[in-house]
Amino acid sequence: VPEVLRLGRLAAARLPAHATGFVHSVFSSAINVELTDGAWVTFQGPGPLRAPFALACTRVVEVRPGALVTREVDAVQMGSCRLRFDRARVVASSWPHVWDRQVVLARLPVVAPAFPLLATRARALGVAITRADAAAFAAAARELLGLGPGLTPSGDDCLVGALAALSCHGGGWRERVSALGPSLAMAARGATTRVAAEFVTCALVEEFSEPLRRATASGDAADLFAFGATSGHDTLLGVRTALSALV
Amino acid sequence: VTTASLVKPSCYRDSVALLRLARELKVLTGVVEVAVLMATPANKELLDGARLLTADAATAGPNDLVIAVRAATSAVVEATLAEAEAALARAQTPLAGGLTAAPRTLDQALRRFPDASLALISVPGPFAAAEARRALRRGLHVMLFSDNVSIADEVALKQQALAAGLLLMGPDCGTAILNGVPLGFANAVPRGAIGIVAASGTGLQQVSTLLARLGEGVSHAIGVGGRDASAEVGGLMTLAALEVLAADARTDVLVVVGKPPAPEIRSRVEDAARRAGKPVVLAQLGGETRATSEANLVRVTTLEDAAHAAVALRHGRRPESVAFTEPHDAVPRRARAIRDHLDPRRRGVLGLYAGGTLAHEAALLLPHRPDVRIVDLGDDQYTRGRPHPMLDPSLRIEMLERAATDEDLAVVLIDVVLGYGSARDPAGDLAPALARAAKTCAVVASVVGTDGDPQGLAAQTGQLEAAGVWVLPSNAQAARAAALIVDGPR
Repeated sequence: VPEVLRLGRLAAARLPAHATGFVHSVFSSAINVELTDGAWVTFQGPGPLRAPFALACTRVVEVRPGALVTREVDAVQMGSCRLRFDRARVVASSWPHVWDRQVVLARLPVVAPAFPLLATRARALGVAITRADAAAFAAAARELLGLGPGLTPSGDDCLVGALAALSCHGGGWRERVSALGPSLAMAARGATTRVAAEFVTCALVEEFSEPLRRATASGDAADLFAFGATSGHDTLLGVRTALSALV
Repeated sequence: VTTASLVKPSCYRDSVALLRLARELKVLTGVVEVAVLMATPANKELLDGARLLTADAATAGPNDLVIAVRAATSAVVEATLAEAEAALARAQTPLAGGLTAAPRTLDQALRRFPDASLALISVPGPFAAAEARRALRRGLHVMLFSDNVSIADEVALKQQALAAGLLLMGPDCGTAILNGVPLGFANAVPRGAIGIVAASGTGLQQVSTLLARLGEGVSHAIGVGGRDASAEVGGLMTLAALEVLAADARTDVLVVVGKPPAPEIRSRVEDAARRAGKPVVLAQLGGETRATSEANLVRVTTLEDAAHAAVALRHGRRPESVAFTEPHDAVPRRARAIRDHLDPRRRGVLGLYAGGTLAHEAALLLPHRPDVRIVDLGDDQYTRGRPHPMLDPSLRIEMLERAATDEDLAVVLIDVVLGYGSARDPAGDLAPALARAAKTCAVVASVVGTDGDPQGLAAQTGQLEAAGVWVLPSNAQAARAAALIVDGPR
């Protein structure tokens, strides 16, 4: 019997008992579910939680888009598949041991931007951080939304990486980002794909995937590189950009 | 060098699959450049910069996948896009490239299509008003396909829409064309300078398709629902639609189609039409016994005359009524020949209609006596528990079989309505039953449609003629021909 093993606090809050939704999209490694209140959760296989709204399961079940999803007290019914939920562990979305940012920067692999416009726009974000200019940061962030290839476009991944670095190492930037959050989240809705907007919105309230937390806190990017075709690479670009600017 | 693109709406494939697809397409012979991107505003800028942004891609949304190709020849572009389509279809298995479900609620749909400006609502009547209210609150125009919405709800919804500067088309609005986009049962007609306000779906279809055959196009065709011109609703949406079309730069001539308004509404509609500052054709079937003109208003008695009048006014000519479009007395002669072959005791006419307004128009043009019966098979009493006859021919086939054994019947009169929402092959569905009926009495028909419709006007007409049906170019002509068969020239 497939089983939900772990989930973050955000996913737990989004999927309380008796919540219902529908399977939005199905991939080899994940199933996206859109709940009737508009929230979004992702059922993935075992391993680190690859999204702040993810639930790690013993395996990815076979289900079709459109299937009804119902959270019962001790199980999740997804189409004709039933996943045990009674032993699922809710994990805190906290930073692991945080290393000095210069050490993290030194440990993180160097990555080149995938295309010139991404380099230009990521650089603008870095300049805004160095100057502690929140307005310029917001403008640069908007320019990154929806930019580039992928279901989560490169620009969004880069922005999420930068937000993780600011949350973990940014000091005063946490407050600035918190103030910018609502307007940037609103901008993300029409500017990028549904799933990318979800990642950006979570990042604006300091909710990140486990691989990103690990890479940002300690410089261990191995799990992050396992992400999609370019997502890990682009996210790392954002982390490095923000850390370099802070340094 | 030529460029084209393929847009796959709401298409979620994982990044690995998208990257692989881009790589596979780039190496095809003759391909100069390929982009496989989600159509976010930023990516559309990228495509524009690379001269890969086509008109289709420009209107796509952030959750749509765009595959843009530039290649040496259009043949290479087409082959590359076909390959892309095939590759995406291959990946369309669960646990492979990814699949996406259709939205289940208005809010889900809006999250996926944040730029949407109109909601087409087709849910059972008791739930329709609530969905329409929700859509209006979210700033969407509404086409309310559902019926069984109360008058009180209709009035409230229309007032809510007007307060928000939105259109509420319906309830029971089957057809509309906005900015060239056909909705519901609409036909494939060209865009043009004639705007239509219609309280009737098939009335709108008849006028718009006749305009297309006359070489004219439609700027917008706004459905308002069959009860809009009643005293209770007060013509709220008819008046709003007239105002919209009067202000629309693309619209040169307006046509208002429907049954006659309530007396107290009629003057308001006519006043609004006079204020439009453009020629307005009023086709309020049953409201006039003959065509009249006054300043910028022309009142006509048939849907066909409405189309002809609109075209004439657009070109600065005087509108004229049309009885038959075939030259000389071809129609009366053929009618006489049919009558000569029929048993003189046969004098009855049975109209079996899918279109309510077409049935109403036929009833106005045929003699009024007990053996002339026009049945609107789209009426509620015939559609309870079964689909509309524009989709399901079974009831009409059953009634045609019965008609074939009716010894008093001289003519069976039918309409065949084509369009995006209609049955795939309505003439083919009816042809065997029509052929049997045609052995005992005359079968007269008109086809509402164009050659651009999915069913094809010429192909559908051909099938009817092969079944022994006399096909006339409009419903009015078909009804007049039926009258000539049973009564001769009046």
